[in-house]
Amino acid sequence: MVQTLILYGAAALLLLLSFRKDRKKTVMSLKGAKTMGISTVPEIVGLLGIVSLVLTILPPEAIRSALGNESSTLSTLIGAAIGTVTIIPAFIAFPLSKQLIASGAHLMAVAAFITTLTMVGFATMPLEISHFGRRFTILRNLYSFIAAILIALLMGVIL
Amino acid sequence: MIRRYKFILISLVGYLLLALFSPERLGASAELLVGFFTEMLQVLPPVFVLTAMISVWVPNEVITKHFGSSSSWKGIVLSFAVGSLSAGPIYAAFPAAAILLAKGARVQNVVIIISSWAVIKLPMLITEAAFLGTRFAVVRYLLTVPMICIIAYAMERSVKLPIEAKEDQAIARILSDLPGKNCRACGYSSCHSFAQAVVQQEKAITDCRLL
Repeated sequence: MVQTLILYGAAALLLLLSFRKDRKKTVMSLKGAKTMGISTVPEIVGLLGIVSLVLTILPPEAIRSALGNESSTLSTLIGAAIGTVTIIPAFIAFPLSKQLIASGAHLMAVAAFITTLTMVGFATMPLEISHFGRRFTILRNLYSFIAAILIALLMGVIL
Repeated sequence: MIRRYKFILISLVGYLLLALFSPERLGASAELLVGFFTEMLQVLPPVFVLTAMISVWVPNEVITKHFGSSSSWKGIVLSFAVGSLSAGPIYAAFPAAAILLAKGARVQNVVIIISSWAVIKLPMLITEAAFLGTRFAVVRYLLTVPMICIIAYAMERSVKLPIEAKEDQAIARILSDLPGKNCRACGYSSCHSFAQAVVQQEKAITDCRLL
């Protein structure tokens, strides 16, 4: 909530300053922002629609049973994979992770799940490709996936 | 045009099927959707405005100086700061980071911005600590920061985007959003040269008469 206020406040303040200094440039900025909106919002809305649908069909309980596996290495891989293919908002992800640990999931698996959840995104790949190209997107997601597993394994050693 | 709306179409078909076969689940789905849209509205409009203002007001040289190939560890620190102080989900980072890349930031710093935008957030750290314990959250963060540096370094080594390639990419992206009729109403000889002018920020895409 505070973040939203700061963000909107900063945008409004800078717009005002910009308008006082140079009207033409300000109008150009707003046009640019509008273009960005027109070209990305339909894709984002569509993707969020698909993600909500998938999360409805594949409820948190399914994720919980997948992460409670006997082998911790396997669970870590599964955790990383589930985090990759889903986008779950933080307000669901953290309580869910707590439940996961309480019901016997491995710490490492949960760490891998949270890390890939935020850094790696299958669902957002089309968006990333349209901004940075295919090679950049695939490599960044691949490296981040490997890094998430390393982070999880190190956490298993430390904690 | 259709390409832009294909995900909306797919999800509409999906919801139609859900309504037909399992209408009792529509409520849960709608709840999620409202949550996502709130998150989107909280972040995207101001991020778009701020990004567009960076693109208009901040000269390329400034970006190149602070985020470009000669920016050493200072660029890294600055990128972490930009990413972690920004708000919102990872998809909000893409337009902002893409503008910085187009204005001369090096790949390494762009990757740091995207990654830290997604992962390193004080409010998220506090929430994580509240649910999973301070030790868990802090250790995960301490491991994530160096990992992001390694990812960024690896990306810098494996993705080489010469300036021309970046510009071509930007032109192609704008071209795909134009009607492609080469009508010349904008004053340029073809849609391609109009797209070039948009990339060089002489024109805005909304100056296209047919759009």
